[in-house]
Amino acid sequence: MNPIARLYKSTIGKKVIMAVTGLIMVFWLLSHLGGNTLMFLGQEWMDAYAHKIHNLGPLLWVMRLGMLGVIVAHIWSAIAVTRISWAAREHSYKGGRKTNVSTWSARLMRIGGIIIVLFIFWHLADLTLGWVHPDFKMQEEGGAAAYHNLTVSLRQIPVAIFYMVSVIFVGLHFSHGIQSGFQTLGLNHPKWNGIRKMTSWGLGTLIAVGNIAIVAATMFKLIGGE
Amino acid sequence: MNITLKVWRQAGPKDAGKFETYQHDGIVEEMSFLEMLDVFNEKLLEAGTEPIAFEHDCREGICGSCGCMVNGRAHGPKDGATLCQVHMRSYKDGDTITLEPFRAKAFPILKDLVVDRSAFDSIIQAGGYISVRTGAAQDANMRPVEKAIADEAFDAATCIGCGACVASCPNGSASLFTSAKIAHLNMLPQGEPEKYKRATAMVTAMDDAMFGACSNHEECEATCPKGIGVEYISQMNKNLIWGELFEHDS
Repeated sequence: MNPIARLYKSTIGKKVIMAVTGLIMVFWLLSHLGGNTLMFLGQEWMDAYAHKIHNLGPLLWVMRLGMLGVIVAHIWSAIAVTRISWAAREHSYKGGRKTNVSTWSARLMRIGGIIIVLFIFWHLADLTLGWVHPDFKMQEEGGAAAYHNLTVSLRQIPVAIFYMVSVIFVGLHFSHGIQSGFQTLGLNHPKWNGIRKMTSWGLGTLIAVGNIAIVAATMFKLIGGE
Repeated sequence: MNITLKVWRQAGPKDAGKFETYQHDGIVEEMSFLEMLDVFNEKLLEAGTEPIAFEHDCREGICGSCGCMVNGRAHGPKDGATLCQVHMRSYKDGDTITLEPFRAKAFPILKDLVVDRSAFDSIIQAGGYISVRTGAAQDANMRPVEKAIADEAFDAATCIGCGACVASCPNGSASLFTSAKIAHLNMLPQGEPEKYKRATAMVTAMDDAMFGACSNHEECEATCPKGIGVEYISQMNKNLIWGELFEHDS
């Protein structure tokens, strides 16, 4: 049997898939944030960046399909372990179970995950496909689409708020997920545990605050002017 | 001291069960928690009603028999203590104490606060032993073990199998128990040769017993009466991952 399939049979194996795919997404999202901070430098920078990505050709599709695979594997494993865990506590505590050390970010993983999935659908329909965008320009048509699409979309207050709430959940997902992923992969050492947890919180804060800054600056017309 | 007891009463495995509320007076703070229950059970017997069933044996925190959820926390309010080591001085007059059995699909309720923890035995039977020939007893210290490793293995070996980790886990996972039982053997020279086989066998038995999946809330560590840490879970995962990917025969 294929070693990955053999590993996947156990609950721990499912967690390993979740951890590895999660950490891939962390790197991907950090570079996504890095690219999007070009919004602060103005239209030329942003559109040049968007253009570069579009000109990757087949490599772009390798990245897109790769990410799709990673996301599907992450969600698939998450659903599998959640079902196992719900079955394991088939009768809940009638008198309640006290929480002693579990963090909010840990407890919001499942609900946050669902919100993030819904957000990804919206985000792709909004800024990749243009289905829900009021004035969408395809990247191929003119050289200047990304900056325009982003500013028009984020000037809609409800959309901007949805983006900001969603990235808060991404941040919370990061702050439990990263340190939890390393623990699942066997990377727990008393000397590094403090750093592991700090990095997790730090990157969670970074991804939330960084993205909110872009959305808020666009919403309040600091990006793109009047 | 007067206490209101809210106790889960369930006549048998098939019964639905429900909370009953009782008044218990005349408690002195020197009483242990289980003594308080003993005295209350005498009252119930005198009144001709069925006493509250709860498990207990050594009453000094080393056998792992006792334990239930006390106000939603496994083994009650004290850190690093089993329920039998809790004394009534932890409570004050007029308190309400809610007692509920540990809940997990793998721990079916037998009666009142007593659950069947045989699922833990099935995990031990799958690999919680060594099968390599170690020969006759050697002189002490013939085979040197680094102090730090010996200490860590001993810390894992302090697990008394009470089930508090499963009870406290939001997912009903037995990862802390299983990992401690794997670690104390895998870290020492006698258990080391079979470490990958052991990890796979015991994790498989854990999954088969219908325990949940760990999601690193670390509630188990917080309520473990022996203070066993989640680093053993990480170590178990490392043994399992490495074993399944690289050391699997056939």
